[in-house]
Amino acid sequence: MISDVAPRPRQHEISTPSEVHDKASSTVVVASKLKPKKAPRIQVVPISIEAVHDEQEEPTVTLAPPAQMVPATDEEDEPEPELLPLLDPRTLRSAIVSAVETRSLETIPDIDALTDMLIRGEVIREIPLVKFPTVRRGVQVLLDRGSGMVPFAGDADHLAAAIAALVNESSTRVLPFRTMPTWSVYDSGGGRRAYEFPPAGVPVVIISDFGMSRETLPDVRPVLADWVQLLRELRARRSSVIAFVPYEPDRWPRELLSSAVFVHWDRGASSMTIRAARARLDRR
Amino acid sequence: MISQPEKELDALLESTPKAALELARVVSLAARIEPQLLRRARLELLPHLRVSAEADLWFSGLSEARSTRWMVLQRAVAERLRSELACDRALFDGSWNVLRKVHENIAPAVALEEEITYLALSPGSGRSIADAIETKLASVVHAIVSEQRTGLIDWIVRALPRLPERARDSQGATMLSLVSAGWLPSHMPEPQQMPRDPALTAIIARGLPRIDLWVRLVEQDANFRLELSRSHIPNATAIKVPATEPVIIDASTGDRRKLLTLGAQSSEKFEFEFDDDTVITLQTAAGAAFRITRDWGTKKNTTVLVAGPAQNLTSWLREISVELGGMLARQGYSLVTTGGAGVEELIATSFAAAAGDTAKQRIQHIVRAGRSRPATGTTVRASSDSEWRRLTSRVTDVAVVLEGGPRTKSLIQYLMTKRVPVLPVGSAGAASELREAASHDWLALKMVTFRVVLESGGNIPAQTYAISQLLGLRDRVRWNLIDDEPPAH
Repeated sequence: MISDVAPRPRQHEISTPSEVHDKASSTVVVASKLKPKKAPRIQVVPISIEAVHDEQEEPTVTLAPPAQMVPATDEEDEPEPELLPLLDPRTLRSAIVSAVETRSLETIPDIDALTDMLIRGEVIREIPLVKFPTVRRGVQVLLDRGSGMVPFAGDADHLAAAIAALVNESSTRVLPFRTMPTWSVYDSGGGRRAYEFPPAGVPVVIISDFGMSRETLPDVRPVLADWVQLLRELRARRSSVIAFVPYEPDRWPRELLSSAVFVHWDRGASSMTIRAARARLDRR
Repeated sequence: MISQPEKELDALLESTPKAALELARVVSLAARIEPQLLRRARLELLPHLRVSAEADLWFSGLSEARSTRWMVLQRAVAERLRSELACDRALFDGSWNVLRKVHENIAPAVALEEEITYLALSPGSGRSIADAIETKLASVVHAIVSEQRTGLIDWIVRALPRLPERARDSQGATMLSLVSAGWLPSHMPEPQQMPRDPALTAIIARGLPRIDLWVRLVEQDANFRLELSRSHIPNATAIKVPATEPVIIDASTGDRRKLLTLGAQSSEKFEFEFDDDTVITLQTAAGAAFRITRDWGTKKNTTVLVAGPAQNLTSWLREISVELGGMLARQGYSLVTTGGAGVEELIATSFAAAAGDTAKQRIQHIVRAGRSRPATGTTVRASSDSEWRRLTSRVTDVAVVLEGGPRTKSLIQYLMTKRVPVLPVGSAGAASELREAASHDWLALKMVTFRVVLESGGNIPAQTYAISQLLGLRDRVRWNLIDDEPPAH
């Protein structure tokens, strides 16, 4: 670097003749002593600009065809991805039946009992009868559309549709609600109306999180007492209540467990687990 | 030291249920996370997790945005979880397969974002991966610039800041940020490199309008800086650059290189050492390059006579002769010699090499009768010594004497009587005597400052610079003080 060897003369250090004359015997050191106090001079230096390389106009590599790109605003029209249902499709039917079946008022011969009697060599004086399970009474489905159920909205629709298909469309009533069904439910047109209890003995399936979600901005949270009251009333009307809940048992509200069968709504749920849960409640 | 955002991120991840975090990790490659994706990822990749993990993730603080159909992870969260996922190759590939399956019908722009994310995090640093990323990003640049698909700017604004670092640092990403015309959020870093991919620069060259970029060279305290501005500045020259946002210019001189970025209101300054040979190259995003040199102007009216010994040259004399010849040529002076060997010949040869095609017109040798014709420039033969002196004084505006013997001293003394300013260089011979004799002269006084560097055997570049400054001084003040008060010889 030039400045490493000898200081570059700076413009404002070039002194006036008289000043230098006094210090004629000095060298560059003098210059710094003669530094004027005025602001350093700034000047624009003429430049020559020459274009030495043209712009790149032709690509030399092949680009992906932009026609394959679509504007990001097309997202609304995308088809929904396929949803793997929470209940195993292979056991879905039996699980639903075990949830909504009731004992019929009619009876049929109890083949198991008859067989036992024959094996034991008993004389059959009276044919044992048994009430058979049926879904003919229909079912009321209370479908939670609250914010806490958003991640399971597709599952809820899928389960409600499966119940309707299995039981009987005409005898299945699906009542969407937000927060609490007793506050209001939605009709098929989306209008609000008061909740009506099902006829006595008609089972009720509730698909809900019962306020268990960790939603930070929930709809108005239901009061647990409201749920307790609803479930007790349904039970008093001889309606069995099966709740499909997307949370494991350790989060279930204990106050509700004596009035409804809670099903951990996941792949582990089956007709066997549901029947066992119903039996446990019946024993209470 | 862990930064505050890192601490906050750690705390957030710590407070998230473990199962939800595990699930978030395997869906972190996704641009959008739907319940369907959470379900398939859980059942196929993490079957030990319960369904509540889906809801806990959905409602966790890890999300940046949520709708009824999908959620998006926070940028920092996604970045952390992706890097963790990439450490488990099997899970990483499994996650990608699940994502591809769930998003097989998703909008291509979103799919592109996810593909680039996957590629950028894929192990290895293969050229094929880098090329694949560039090609995918180039397709977006192409669509925006060439096909005016400005809707994709929304995609850039959303996707670009979220891409992994490897993709964000790519040329394609730089180009995307440049063409998105300032729509990107402020946290998007400014481009760190000038795109070199010819395909990308071609897209820019073809598709973007041009704007003026004003350029000027400013000297302050013997420091030079190149100033560039998007708005007009006095005494500046405009060059055309593509209207990227920000405008980027790759400025280089010697081994120094700097990427200059100019927002709509900003001006950039590029400071550097500047000498006679300094060439600054500015390259635009469209691939054009401009070479900037100091314009010394046409000094056809300034002819410098050089004189010095013809033989017994010291190494210093040889070197400074070569330097001086080049400097005079580059600065636009014309040269006159007496056709002598040694110093004059070296200077003329060096001058001719630097002057190129113009050497013939700019070098003039005034030779006495009987002398041979020099190899460079044009030669004028004088019929007598008196004519030789007369011709020489007539064409000479300033004389530079490098040491020199009695003959040189005689000529110079004649020139001084004709009020030709003389710049003696060296501490021996004629130059030394002339300087002592002219110690009361205004120019000589100026030279006090330069005495150290003008002594024989000094630093050649510094001395050449000093000579250049003194000659320049003559240009500025026309040495009228000398004219008014000529030496008493």
